[in-house]
Amino acid sequence: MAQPTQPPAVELRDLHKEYIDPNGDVVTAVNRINLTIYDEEFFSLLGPSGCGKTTTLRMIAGLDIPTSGSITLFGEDVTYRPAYRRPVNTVFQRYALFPHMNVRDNVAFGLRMRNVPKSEIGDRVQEILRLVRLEKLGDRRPAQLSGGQQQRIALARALVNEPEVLLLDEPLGALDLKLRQAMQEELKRIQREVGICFIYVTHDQEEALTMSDRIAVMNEGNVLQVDKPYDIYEEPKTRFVADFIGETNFLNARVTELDDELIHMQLDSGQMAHVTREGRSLPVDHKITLAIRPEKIFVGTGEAPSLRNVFTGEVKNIVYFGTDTYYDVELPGGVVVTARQQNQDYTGTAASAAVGDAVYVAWRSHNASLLTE
Amino acid sequence: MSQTPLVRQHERAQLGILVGPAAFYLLLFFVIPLGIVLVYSFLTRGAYGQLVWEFTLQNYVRVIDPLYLSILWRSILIAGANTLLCLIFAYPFAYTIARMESARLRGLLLILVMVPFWTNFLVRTYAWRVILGTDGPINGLLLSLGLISEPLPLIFNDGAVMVGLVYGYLPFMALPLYAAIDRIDFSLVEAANDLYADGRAAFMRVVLPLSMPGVLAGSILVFIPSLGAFVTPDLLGGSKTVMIGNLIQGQFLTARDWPFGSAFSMLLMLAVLAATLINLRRGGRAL
Repeated sequence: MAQPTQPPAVELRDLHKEYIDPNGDVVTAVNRINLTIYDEEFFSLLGPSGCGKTTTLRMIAGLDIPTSGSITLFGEDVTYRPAYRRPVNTVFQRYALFPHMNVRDNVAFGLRMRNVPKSEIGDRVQEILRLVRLEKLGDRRPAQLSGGQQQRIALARALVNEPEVLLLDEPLGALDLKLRQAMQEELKRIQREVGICFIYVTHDQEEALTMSDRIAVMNEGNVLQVDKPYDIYEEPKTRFVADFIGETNFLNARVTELDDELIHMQLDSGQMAHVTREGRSLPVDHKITLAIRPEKIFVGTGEAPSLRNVFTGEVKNIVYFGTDTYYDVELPGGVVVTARQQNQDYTGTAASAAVGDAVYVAWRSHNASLLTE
Repeated sequence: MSQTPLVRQHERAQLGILVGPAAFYLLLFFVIPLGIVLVYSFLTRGAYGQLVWEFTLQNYVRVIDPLYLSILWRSILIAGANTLLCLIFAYPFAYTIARMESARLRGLLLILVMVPFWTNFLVRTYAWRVILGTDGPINGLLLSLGLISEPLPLIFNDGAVMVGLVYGYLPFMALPLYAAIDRIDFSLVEAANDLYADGRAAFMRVVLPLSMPGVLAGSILVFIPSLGAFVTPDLLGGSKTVMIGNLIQGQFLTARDWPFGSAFSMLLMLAVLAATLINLRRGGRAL
C-alpha cells in the first residue's frame, strides 16, 4: 500500500450526482459519497444494478460530470477536467472496441492521440499484447475475436497508456463462468505486474471477495461499508450488506442483559441467544437483528455440541447442492433458520437428516453479527 | 455440401418464391428496355425520325464529339458539386437528429424531411422559379429594403440549378446518413474520449469512419440521379446550362433521333458506372 506521505490515488469528497429522468423527476444516482482509494490497491465498488457504482466510476473517468463534490487524483483536483485530459483509462462493460480498426490500431489509439513517437508505439503495443497473451492477434478485427479475447484487448487498450488508475466497469460480466474465473486470476496477475490502482465495478459479490484488497458496498447511491473482503463478509454493519453478500439468517431480537463477555437477547420466537460483546454497549430492551451465516450453524440429529446457542427444531426442507446441503429448520415459535453443512462424508443419501426429523441447530457466540440498522 | 438434394431443392424453391417476383419485374422493365436502348444505339435514324435497321457505329462516333464530352464533364461537375453540398448540409442535420434523445422529436423531424415528397417534383421546381424570379419574394424584399436598385439575376443560371438540385436531393442524402449515424454505438465515442481524443478527434476517427456506409449510400443516391437530371436544369437553368439529361431528352423528344439519344444514354451509364466504382473502391476500405 501507499506511503503515508503520498496522496491517495483517488479521493472522492461529498461526490453527488443527480439527473432528471424522462418524467422530469430528480433522481439521485450518487448521494454525497466519500471514498479514499490508495495506489496499488485493487478496490471494488460492489452493489446491485442502479446502486450508483457505475456512475461513480464514470465520474472518476470524466464521462459524467458531478452535480457537486470533488474528485482528486494523486492530490490533483480533476472534478471538471474532461475525460481526454485525465490520467485514467477505462475498460468498458461491453468493451467498446472500435469495430473499424484492427486489434493493433485499437490498442495504439490512446498512444497516437498523445502523439507518442511511431517507433515507440509499435513496441509498446506489442509489449502490452504480450502481457494479455494475445500478441499473435494484432491484425484481427474485434468482430473476429471471442468474448474473452475482446475483453483482453479492451484491457490492453487501456493499460498501454500506463494510466495512474485503471477503471473497470463489470469487465467480466459478459463471459461465461469458467472464463470469468480464469480472467479473475488473470486480472489479479496483471494488476500485480503493472502495480497500479484498479477500481473495479461489479455486482458479483464472489468476484469482489476473491479479487479485491478492499470493497465498498453501495446501495441506492450510498456507500454502506468500506472494508477488506473478510470484514465485509464476517462483520457486515448493515442488513443490506449482510444480505447482499452471501447468505444470511436474520433473527429479530431484543436485548435483555449485558455482561463483560456477552450480550444476551431474546429472539422474537422466545428463545435466548448470546453474542460476543466486543466492547459494544446497547441499552436493554433495544431492538436488534441477529445475522448468522448458514455455514456457521451446526445441524444434526445426535447430541448437540456444548455451545451457548443451541436450539431444537424440525427439518422443513432440504436442498442438495453437491458440495453442501442446506437444511431449513423451523424453531418453536415459527422462526426458520437455514443451516449449511459441507458434505464431507458421503453416506449414500443427500443429507444426514430427513424432512420432519427433530434436529439441533447451534452456533458460536462470536459467529453471529449484531445489526442495529 | 452435406445437405441432401431434397433440402437443396426446397431451398431453391424458396429462393425462387422470394426473389422471383422482383427479378421478373426487373427483367421486364429494366433489363429488356436497357437491351432495347443498347440495340437502338447501333441503329440508324430514318429521314422522318423512324428507326432504320441498319447497323452503324456512327452514333458513338458523334457522341465522342468534344462538345458533347464537355457537356458530360459539366454534368459530372454539377452532380459532384450537388453531392458535396448535400453531404455538407445533410451531415450535421442527420447527426443532430440521430443524437436526439426525444424519440418524438426525432420522428417529427424525419417526417418533415419526407414532407416535400408529398408534392410533385415538377410543381416544387416551378415553385423555385417563383421564389428566385425577377419579381419573386427574394428580389422583392431586397428591393423594398433598398439594398439593391434592380433585381438580381437569381434564376436561369448555374446557381439556380444548383439551388434546385440541392433542394431536390437533400433528403436522399439525409436519410441514409441518419440511418448510418443512428446505428453507431456512441459508447465508442466515450471510449475515444477516455483514450485522450477530444471531441474533434473522436468525430474524425470514430464517428465519421463508422458513418461511411451512409455517406456512400447517400452519395450514390444523389450523384447518379442528379447526373441525369433534366427537369431542374430545364426549368431553372439558362440556355447555357445544358446537362446531359437535357441533351438526351432533346434527342428523343425534339430531334427524334432515338439511336443518337440511345448512344448518349449508354455513355451516361458508363460514366455513372465508372463514378460509382471509384466511389465504392475508395469508400469500401472504410466499411
